[in-house]
Amino acid sequence: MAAYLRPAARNRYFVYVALFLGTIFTVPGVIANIAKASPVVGFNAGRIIDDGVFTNSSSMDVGQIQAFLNSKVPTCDTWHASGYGQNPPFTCLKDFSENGRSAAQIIYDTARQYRINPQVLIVLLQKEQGLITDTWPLASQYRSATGYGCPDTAACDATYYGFTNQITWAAKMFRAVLNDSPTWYSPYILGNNDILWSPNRSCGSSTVNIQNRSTQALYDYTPYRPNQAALDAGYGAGDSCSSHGNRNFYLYFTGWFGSTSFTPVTKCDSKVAEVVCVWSVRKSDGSQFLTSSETELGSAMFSYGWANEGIVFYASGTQKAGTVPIHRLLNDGTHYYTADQSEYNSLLSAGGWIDEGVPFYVYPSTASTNVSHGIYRLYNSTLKQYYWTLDENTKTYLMNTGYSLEPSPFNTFSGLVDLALPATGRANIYSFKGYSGYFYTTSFSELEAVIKAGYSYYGVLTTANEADTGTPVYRLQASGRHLYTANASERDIAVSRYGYIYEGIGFYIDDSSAQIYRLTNANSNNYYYTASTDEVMSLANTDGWTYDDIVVDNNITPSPVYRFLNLLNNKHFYTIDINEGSRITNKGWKYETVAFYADKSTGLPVYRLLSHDKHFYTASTTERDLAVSKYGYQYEGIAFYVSQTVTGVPAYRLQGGNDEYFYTASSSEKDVAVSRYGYRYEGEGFYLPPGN
Amino acid sequence: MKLSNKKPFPKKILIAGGAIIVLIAATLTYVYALHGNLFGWQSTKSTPTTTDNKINYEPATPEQQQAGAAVKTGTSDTPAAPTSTPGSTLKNVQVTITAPTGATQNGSVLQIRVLIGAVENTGTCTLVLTREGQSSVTKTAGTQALSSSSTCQGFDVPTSELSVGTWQALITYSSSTLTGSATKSITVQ
Repeated sequence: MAAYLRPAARNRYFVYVALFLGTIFTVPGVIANIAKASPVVGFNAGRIIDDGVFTNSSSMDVGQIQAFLNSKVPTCDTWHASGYGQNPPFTCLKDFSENGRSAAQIIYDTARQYRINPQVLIVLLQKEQGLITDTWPLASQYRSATGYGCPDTAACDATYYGFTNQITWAAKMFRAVLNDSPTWYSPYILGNNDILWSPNRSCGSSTVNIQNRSTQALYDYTPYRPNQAALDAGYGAGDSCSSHGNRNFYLYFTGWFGSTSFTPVTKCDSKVAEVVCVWSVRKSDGSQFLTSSETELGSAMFSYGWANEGIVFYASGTQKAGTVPIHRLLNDGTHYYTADQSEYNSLLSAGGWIDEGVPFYVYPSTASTNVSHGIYRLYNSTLKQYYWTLDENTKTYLMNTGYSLEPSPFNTFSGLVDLALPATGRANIYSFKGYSGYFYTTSFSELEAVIKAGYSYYGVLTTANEADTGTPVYRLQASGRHLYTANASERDIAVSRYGYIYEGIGFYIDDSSAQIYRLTNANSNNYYYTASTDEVMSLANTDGWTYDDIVVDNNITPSPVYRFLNLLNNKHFYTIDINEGSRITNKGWKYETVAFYADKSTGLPVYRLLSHDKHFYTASTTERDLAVSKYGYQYEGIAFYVSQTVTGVPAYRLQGGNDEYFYTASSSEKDVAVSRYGYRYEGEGFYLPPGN
Repeated sequence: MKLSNKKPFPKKILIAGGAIIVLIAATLTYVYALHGNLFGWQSTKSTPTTTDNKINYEPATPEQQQAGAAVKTGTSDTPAAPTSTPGSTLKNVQVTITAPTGATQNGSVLQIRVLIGAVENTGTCTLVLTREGQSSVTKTAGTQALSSSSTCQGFDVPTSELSVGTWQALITYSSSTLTGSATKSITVQ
């Protein structure tokens, strides 16, 4: 019986087998299509993305952005059937350009300008309009590419139309939130907020503890928190109360560019040998631990499982002049840091505190903010925990979450630039090259902000008066270009006629400051400032640069006399006038050096004469007149003034084989000219004033 | 009547053939599902991709394409359209007081933040703080348009103007076309 089945039974057997096989293979496939909506993992509503990731503007170059766009749409459906009222051809984002710039270039440029990660802008284009993956995007998707100012509730505002315009507005808004700009208002604060689940208000809201500015910026952009159904649905719809914008931002970002969490460094990045990094480590109980030791940091992270929060400030590893030791004390798991010797003594004598030594040295809180930052100390009386930070946003977040600000306990260094501490009462003017021009500041906070924004440090321009006395130099800005002027009328014209924004007094120049020379660039419409006349002469008339003016003329005497060589006839020319010198340099004349120093208006005059293509300089009126009457020289006027008496450093006069006259204050140069180049030494031409 | 000499096609073969076809179809489905990472038990991680600083240069997944297509003709998460108000030419707009929540307070400043469900920068926000037995505190501010909503240009209220306790905050928004309001209990410490 078991070996034999009736035909009908056999038929059923085959049917059952077929159904069984079909079931075991096809049902999982069907279920899989439902199950493929993998729930979102790792989404933190209060910290969707870390600031360090959100602002990493150098994460991709133009080529990488283009390659990325190409990869997401390998084949563009250019001739897709008409849809949504638009006929083909359709242009994919990888092929799109506006005003001569490709989409990749526009994304890159905007990211650099506003210091936003280009990956954030890419994800924004996808989450708002699906432009990254769309094989036949519509013109309207480009017109409102980031969904800025174009809700369903009203007609789109033409102010925001256009691909470049859309990306720019989005990046500008992000940057304003990141900077906590006083002229940009946010509907959210760092800390607890009521955030709606969706545009449908009846769905209600929840409390979200926004922990950083980047997350705040995302909620400013899309003011809804994805609910659990949205998170469970992966890229799917969720339920009627689900919102998708911030969830999709997270999903696209992690899917395409990796984690939204910033990995803090474990190696010190200080560029100054004596300056050490100080890390903040969050202990298991939420309290803070500060260390300048990479070994101690590693132990805290890997032996204790504490969280590295990154470098919070810099300090000195050794006791430098003007610094004070920081004492680290421990009491029942709580660390405390003080630069105050009497506080240190009283804590130790009170009992319970263990002295853990001096981990680093800092400036006292009374130190100048032109050479150091004041640190913030905050205290939470409920948790009985302290927190030390330099970061304004961290301070704000903590103040919104139960911490109160205490008096600044000490000042800290910069680990990013050569410290070059100025003399007492002076302030360094730090110079930088930014994306749109050159920038100069005496502010330590501003210094580090622009370096972190990617500006190149160019060293110290000169020093200013720290006490804000002297001649004020006004700072103005237009499209990222900075103009510095001591001339109030120039300042006012720059504002009224050329659209500059007056940013305030940049610094104060006095007689202890070096002269600052300004050059302008006709190509880039930029300004550059230098205290080096050599740099003026080497830069002027190259790549669009021309010498403009002295910012503050201190009438420093004696003044340099610039020496040039005529490249056509190898004859030398001397002038004390920087305007004259800067006009001829690099234009047939090669600037060689400062020949010597002379006065501009007092002393014994030295006359300048010209015969054909050679210049002759003499302090003798007889020789001057003879040169004109007998040798055909043309008198050009007084070149400069020298010593009235036959004292001091002489300017030696020589005549070359090409009949030129050569003057030098260097006896060794005189000797070389004679022995090696065949010059004839004619004697001491005149005597130079003190200062040579 | 002509009888056919053909032997009937064996049912057994028919059934077996059907089973084979089903089997082939099922196998193909299975391979497709496996290849497409569609089974729930498969890792949700995609196969290792060409990485350049963790940049994924693989083509977009079907889910990413579908999510992108879903927003093709409009932005997602846009505020609900304002509704008409009976007897008025103004429409109602959603107004939400987003902060503070609970006892959030920055030192001596009470930060009141507002979300307006429309993109406008020409309206006016009015804040009225009331508490029984106390004089009310009224502030006004302009508005600022955001990307898909707007906010009031304020309000940071010094707690020196308020007594400790629970206050009622009323925010009223009005513009030439829209109006709306929201209330909230706020604790001043």
